[in-house]
Amino acid sequence: MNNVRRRFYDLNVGPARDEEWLDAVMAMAEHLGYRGVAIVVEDNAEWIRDAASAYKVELYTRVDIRARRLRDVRKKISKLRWADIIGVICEDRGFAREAAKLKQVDILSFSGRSIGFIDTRQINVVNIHRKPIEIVLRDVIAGTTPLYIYIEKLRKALEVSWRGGATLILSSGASGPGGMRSPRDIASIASILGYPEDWSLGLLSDNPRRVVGDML
Amino acid sequence: MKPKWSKRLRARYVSIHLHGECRDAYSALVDTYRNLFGEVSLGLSGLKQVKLSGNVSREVLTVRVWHTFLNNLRASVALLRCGDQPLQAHVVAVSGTVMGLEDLLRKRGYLS
Repeated sequence: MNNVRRRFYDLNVGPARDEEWLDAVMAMAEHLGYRGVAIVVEDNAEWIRDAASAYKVELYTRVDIRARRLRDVRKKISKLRWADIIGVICEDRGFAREAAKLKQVDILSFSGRSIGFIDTRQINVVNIHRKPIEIVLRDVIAGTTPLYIYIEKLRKALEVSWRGGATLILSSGASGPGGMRSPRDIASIASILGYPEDWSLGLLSDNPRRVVGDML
Repeated sequence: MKPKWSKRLRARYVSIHLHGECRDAYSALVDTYRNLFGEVSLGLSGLKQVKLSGNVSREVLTVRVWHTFLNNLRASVALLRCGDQPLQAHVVAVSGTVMGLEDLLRKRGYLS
């Protein structure tokens, strides 16, 4: 299975700045072997699709919603039909469970401390509502937070997802081309925690591909 | 029972493309590996810099590591730091022999 040519996706890069930035990100994604990249945008920017058409890498637009109440999320979602992927940043345990029930939400995004919110109950909810969970490794890659602080939370999140059979995605959360990493190198972070290589690679290939396939 | 390390060790030659400037990239890699996995794992991994024949691109660092520690090396590359700053790098090619690695690098335009 390891020899199968995989298609890798990074579903969290951005927010988008200008054409030069986008060119650098797409070139880096192609160089690192990604098949698709989701760029976080703040408004419906048509120039992004035009600028990315020169590259072999597939581009998806993504909007991340940061809110405290579900009512605010619903209000924002209604104006975001143009986005390929709608993500919700989960900064509260209760909110994360409620957000999983929203039909229009495509991804529940966890990063930093909130990785600890991924527990058995959260996995049960996302399984019922068929929502993928995303772990953003931005802080770990950038080195703003040492790995040892999050390693226990990361291990627990991977374990409950593994046991519960949830669709889990790892993404770089890079703010630019310099923050992006090779998919196999990112997957090795899960491998060193004791998970099979094939499953770890699936976190950056099969699982995000399923998400992207469902969206379009 | 034989200890784990008594298994036959197979070498993996790994080329790493560094996207930023670092005075001593190999030391940076060793330091990152040591920070992540500790002194014992570093010693057992057999990590060693390898010099390739031919004109290798300047930003490519080639190392040897025992095959059981390849994932540890990849994780170290993903989280590589040069001094206090994160250094972007990625594994370009992995092979069991130096000649195989050179072939792969030639195909990918890193070796002439």
